[in-house]
Amino acid sequence: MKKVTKFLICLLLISLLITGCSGGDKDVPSDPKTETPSGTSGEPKYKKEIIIAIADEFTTIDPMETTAESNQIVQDCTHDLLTDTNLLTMQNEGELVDSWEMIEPDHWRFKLKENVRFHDGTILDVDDVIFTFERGKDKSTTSAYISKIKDFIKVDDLTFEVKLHNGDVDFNYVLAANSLAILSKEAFETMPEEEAVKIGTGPWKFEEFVPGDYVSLVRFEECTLYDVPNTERLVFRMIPEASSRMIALENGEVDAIMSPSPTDYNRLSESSNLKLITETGRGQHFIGFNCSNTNSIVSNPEFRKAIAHAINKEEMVIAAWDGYAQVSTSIMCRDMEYYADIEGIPYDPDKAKEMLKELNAEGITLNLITSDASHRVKMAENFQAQMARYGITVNVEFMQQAALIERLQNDKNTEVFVLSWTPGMNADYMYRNPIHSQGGRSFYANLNNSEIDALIDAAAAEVDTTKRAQMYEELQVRLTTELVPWVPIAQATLTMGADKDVTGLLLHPGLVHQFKTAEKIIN
Amino acid sequence: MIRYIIKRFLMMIPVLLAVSFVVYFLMDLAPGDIVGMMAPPDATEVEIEMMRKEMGLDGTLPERYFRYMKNLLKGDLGMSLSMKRPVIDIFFERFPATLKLAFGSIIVAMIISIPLGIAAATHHRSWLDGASMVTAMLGLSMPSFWLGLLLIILFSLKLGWLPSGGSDGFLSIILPAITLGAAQAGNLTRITRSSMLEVIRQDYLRTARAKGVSEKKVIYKHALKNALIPIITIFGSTLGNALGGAVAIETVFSWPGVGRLTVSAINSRDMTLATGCIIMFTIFFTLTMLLVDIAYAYVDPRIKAQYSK
Repeated sequence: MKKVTKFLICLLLISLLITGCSGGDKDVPSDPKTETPSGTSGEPKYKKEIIIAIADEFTTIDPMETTAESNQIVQDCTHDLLTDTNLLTMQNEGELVDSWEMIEPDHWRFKLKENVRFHDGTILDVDDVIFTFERGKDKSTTSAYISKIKDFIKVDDLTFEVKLHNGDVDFNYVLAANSLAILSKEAFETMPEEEAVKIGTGPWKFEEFVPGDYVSLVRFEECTLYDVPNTERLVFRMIPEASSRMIALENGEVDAIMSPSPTDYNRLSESSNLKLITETGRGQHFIGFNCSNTNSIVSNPEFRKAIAHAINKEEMVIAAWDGYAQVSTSIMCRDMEYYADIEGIPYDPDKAKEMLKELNAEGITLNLITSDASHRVKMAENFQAQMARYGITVNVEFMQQAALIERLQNDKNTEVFVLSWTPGMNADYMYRNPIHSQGGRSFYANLNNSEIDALIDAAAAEVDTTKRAQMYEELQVRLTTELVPWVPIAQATLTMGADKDVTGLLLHPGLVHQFKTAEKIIN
Repeated sequence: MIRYIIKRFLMMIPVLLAVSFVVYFLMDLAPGDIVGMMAPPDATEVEIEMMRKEMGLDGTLPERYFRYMKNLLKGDLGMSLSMKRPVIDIFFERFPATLKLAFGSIIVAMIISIPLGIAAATHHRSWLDGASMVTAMLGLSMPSFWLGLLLIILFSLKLGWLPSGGSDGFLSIILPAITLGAAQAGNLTRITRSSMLEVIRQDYLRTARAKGVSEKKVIYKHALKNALIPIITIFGSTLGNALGGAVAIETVFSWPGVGRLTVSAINSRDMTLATGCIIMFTIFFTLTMLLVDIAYAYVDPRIKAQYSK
């Protein structure tokens, strides 16, 4: 029986060896509490390292391999786009491009900024842009954008022209797609691909990635496009659980957290050491209808209007977001170019009852599907409760997001759904995918209205901005008050928790949040 | 013995085939399409089909399964659909963390359960026995997720002794190992107690006492050694469960292990990554059980004699 003892002792030793030895010597983010400040006397002193806790996993630094937000927020620090949204002005501006000119809607000329340095020391020129676009031709995340280009003409080292297959007066917005970040041609010629994709022009250089744990960046001292960051190291730590993120922030283990739990909003805003950063999101949350389901009353626009009158959006905002959302009156998202402040369909329960009576819709049953995301569950349940006041029974079915999308794309019997739409770029993007019958795969409302399709196409091609604004207003009014493929409910507030003294954390309403200038002055 | 080991290795083949078949087909049956999730909203049908082909998701289900199995037999678990990297590389990047956590939890479980189980058995039907069993039941019944958060609040937030998550060095494993080890300790305490109770009643212990051997020696020299044999068997399954069942712990403590990776692969419908991870888990679980059986034969001559026949 001595063997038993020997076996257990061996086991214990092996266990201690495995748990104790591995991982201890890797270059992990240092304890922020023991940081020494940088800077000389008289100048502000900055914390050396900023750690941001993200909810989802970072998986790759290659901008063309992913559209996941957790990857793009890191890529935004290391790579740059030809154009991008200025988060302070919300205008599309040149990032690597100095200026551009629309010669014709299908013919554009761009001039790159001078002396933009890549992390490998090379200087950006048109060849890098050509190389990036060539590489992206076969990539699923970029091919849709690059396929718009018929010819790419190099004028000189810093100037290029593109000819498009079809006119697009908003082509500058296409170049703001995150997957089109410009890569260094020379890096790909001299390094293995997995190393070359790390080379960008951003103020941060890729340092280390520990899968499932963190990705770290160091500041790019020779950066010519931006001021060199005051922070030396930027770390994105993956903490999937919201309460664990909050504890790590309260404990000083991280400096900022993405997506805090709504239950922690008050704690963040009332804390003396922490703050809640908010920004109205561009995501339009709505109750959608399958307008082509002729077996259902939802195909009748009068019924959809009656439902729009019946919904108390304020009540739904309290139920789904605890008030952290802005009620929508229009289908179009509030912060977008060409948004017109229209009244929409007001909440009017008496009118709703009257309309439903005329339509013989009292006592009917509707089937609603949505995903299991917490706010959608609450929206669906609140819709169910509100409709019960009008004698309408709503059967609700929850499913995973992937299953929901598949159902919306394939099930012709869908009646009502709860969903959101976040138009990343321009006004055309707002309408084309979900509303235009030839627009794309987000056409879940199946509106199939040729007049609306023509109006979307005409607005996209209109060069005169005044006429264009009129067209978009007409679209807004007709869709919101006449055809009602969705009842817009609210634009939810985006949130972030952070140490009170951390600055430079910019939330983007619809695209990728920017942390390039994250810093903390310490006294 | 060698014949037995070879036989056990051969038995792994149908197990792995069955697991791969079930996982692959169930993943396919699950609603949701990874291509639909990954493609940009304005991707055309042609582009979607291009992506499907690029990801190896074209063709019928049996065609895809046989293609997958053909590659698997060559040791190729395929490319992750979401991460665009070989599954085997992704798995082994994360597996050491899971292994560390599993062994850490076993240490915690053994340190708690063996003394507690012995105390309960030697003080049978006393208050100590009752207290030990209540402690064991608590460990077994407390949800790991909840216990983990409580430990973080106490040791990380209030006392500031330990990090709340991550895998930076030795300190960061303490809380997840205690959380995972608590449930295992509950089970092992009960097994140790019942095993000790059975051994304590044996004639040879009565003989030892009659010969004047001290009670301490009777318990620790004669009884414990024999009582530990069933614990080795339980250890195997506990380790196997710790390897595969630490998803909640990995989530709460942001532990970069394979459990979290597998769940994330299932949620994102990354069929090859999810199937690959589950197949690797199956291999490690069956190997662990085989090692336990071999160890069992090593420590118990009766079993060894049985294999020799």
